[in-house]
Amino acid sequence: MGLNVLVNPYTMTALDGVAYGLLLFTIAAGLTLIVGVAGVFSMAHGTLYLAGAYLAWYLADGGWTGLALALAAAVVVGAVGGAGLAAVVRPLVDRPLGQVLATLGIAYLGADQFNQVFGAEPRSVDPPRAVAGSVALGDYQYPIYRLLFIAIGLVLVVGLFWLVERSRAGAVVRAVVADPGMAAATGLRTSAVRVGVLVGGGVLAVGAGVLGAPVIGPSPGVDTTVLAYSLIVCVVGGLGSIRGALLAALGVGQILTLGVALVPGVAAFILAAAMLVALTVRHRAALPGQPA
Amino acid sequence: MTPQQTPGRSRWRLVVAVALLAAVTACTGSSLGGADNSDEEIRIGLIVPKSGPYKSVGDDQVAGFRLALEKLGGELGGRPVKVIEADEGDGKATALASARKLIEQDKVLALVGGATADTVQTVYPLLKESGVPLIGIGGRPSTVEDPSYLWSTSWLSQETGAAIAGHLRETVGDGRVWVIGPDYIGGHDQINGFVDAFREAGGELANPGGEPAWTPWAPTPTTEFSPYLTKIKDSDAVAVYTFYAGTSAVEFVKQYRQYGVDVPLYASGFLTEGAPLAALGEQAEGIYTSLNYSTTLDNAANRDFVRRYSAANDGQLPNLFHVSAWDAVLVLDQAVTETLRGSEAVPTAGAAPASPPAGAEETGEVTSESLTAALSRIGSIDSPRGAWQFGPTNHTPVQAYYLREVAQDGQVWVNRTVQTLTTLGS
Repeated sequence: MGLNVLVNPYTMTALDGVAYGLLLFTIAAGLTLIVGVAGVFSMAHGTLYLAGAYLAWYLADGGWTGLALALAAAVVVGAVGGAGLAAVVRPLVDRPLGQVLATLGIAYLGADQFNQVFGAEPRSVDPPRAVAGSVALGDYQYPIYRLLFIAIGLVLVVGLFWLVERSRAGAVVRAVVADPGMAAATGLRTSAVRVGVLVGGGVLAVGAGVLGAPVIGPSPGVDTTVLAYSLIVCVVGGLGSIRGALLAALGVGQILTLGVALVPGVAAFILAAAMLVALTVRHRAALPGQPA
Repeated sequence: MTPQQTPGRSRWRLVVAVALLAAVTACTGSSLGGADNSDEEIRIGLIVPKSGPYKSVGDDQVAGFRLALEKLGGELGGRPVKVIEADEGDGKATALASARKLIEQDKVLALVGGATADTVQTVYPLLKESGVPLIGIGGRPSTVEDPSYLWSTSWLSQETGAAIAGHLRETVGDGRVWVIGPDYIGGHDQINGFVDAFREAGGELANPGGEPAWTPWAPTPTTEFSPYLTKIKDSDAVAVYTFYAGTSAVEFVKQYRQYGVDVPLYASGFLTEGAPLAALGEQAEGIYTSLNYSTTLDNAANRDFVRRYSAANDGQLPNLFHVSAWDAVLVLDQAVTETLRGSEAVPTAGAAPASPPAGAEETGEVTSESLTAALSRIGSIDSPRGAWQFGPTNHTPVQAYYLREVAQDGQVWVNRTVQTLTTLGS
């Protein structure tokens, strides 16, 4: 009886919103740190996600081995990608427009390379067989992998919060966001912190691509889609704020699912409208850029 | 010049060919007019997406075009052909620049291509201005005021849905059908083509308010369909009709299965044509679609076409985009032959001193004008989709539409032909 009350079209859709929101958080958490901490306006974040999604597609073998291999490769690709970005924008410190153009160029080159290597067709990535099916929830069915992703996402949320708010590394990172000049004056190597954040953000984005491929699969254009959503999450959540990114990502997730179900007539505008409201309210009430 | 044998490695050779051609054109200048040399090359401009969101469609179109030209020994109507390729991009500025370059610099006699209706719309004024015809092989605007220079081997977007509406109405009886599609102009054409014909046949939609559900196309195309699928599951719909292509098609079908929607899925054939079907495989099993082609059609032209394509592509199967491009070559072949037939008629026409102007018109020179005129005289095209002919009003094929079901054929998944639905075209 209780289950039937809980399982209705709207709770099912809201559950999807949570899964989608957590995926967006995993992707955008890296970007919010890259922009907020490293001060790099990276337009190549979606490219890193797409690289991960293609890795998942290429290495998928229907079992856990393929996924594990893809994740291991994602750490390498993400670290190299992040370090590469750091090297590219190194001469462009304090020139945000130059950074935007340079990373945008990288994104275009990346998109073209993906086309050459993997073809322009959309690819479908299936999760490991053990979690590929659906489970019955009352009268409805729900994909097991999305439930699993919610669990993984929650672990990532806790891990990132611990890392940024409780660990020593996090304290250094927060110090650099709050006052780069003072952090440098106290002997922190801010440039090393920047590179570290770019590498960490890169690993997060490519890893999100591997884990998210069964939900947002690899195909041309996915890089820009993911970049657009990540930027929305970063801006609405406040640059450099993990907590803000989490709230914004969950909000965007709900808007893209529950919002569309509740007011289908304005589905196309609802995300933009919600962004406007969120930005207006946050501008009045909160402190933008406040770390964590 | 014969078409490239290996599409994958042809890029550099193509670049070299284009560069050479540009040099040759620059040298020969306007020597193009001389028609007495029957070995003279016919220049055709192939304009398809080589970048952007429709690149995979463009790749297929080039492959289909080359395959047909290969079959004809690199000749159209017995004349050697030089094909100059250019990028259509996403159909606006790039397409216009490419078309202008092909017409003005390369002096092509005809253009072939256009993956999207945008391209046709953008390029059309240039065609009228220059008198160069376009053999459209992809999407096109549903109505063109004066289609003199536009001849399409493809289809009209409304036809796909209209063709299956009557059949679906009979199948569901008094049951209602849920209709869902993407919120952009092509999606509206596809979906409304079905909805209008379905209502006319007495059918009813299961959607709230009786109107189709439109999924957002901006800022990015919807790939998250769970809110809609949950609603469908909650409704009294006995079937679903949809149209998606590319990534959206893959995600829609995957999620349709994952969320356990158990009513039959009917769709415009693009849902399971080419790349989406390859990506989906078993998950697409049992989907019924409507389209003007299926690889399993049992006719001699199709058997030959599928055999040639598979042999050249590791046993893969062709799709509708290959067919439309292939047919464009057949159309041009017939049109050039028809133009040259005018040439043989010259002595007779010339012998009659009463009509020298008519004789002058029919000297059999293969020019853009004579080619355009010949297009209206060509007969039936022996296409892999079944024979068709240009309609007189819109210059689109009058062709059969088929009901297809996704089924396994050996190791591969195919759109098996179930029955012929109807013949449409104008």
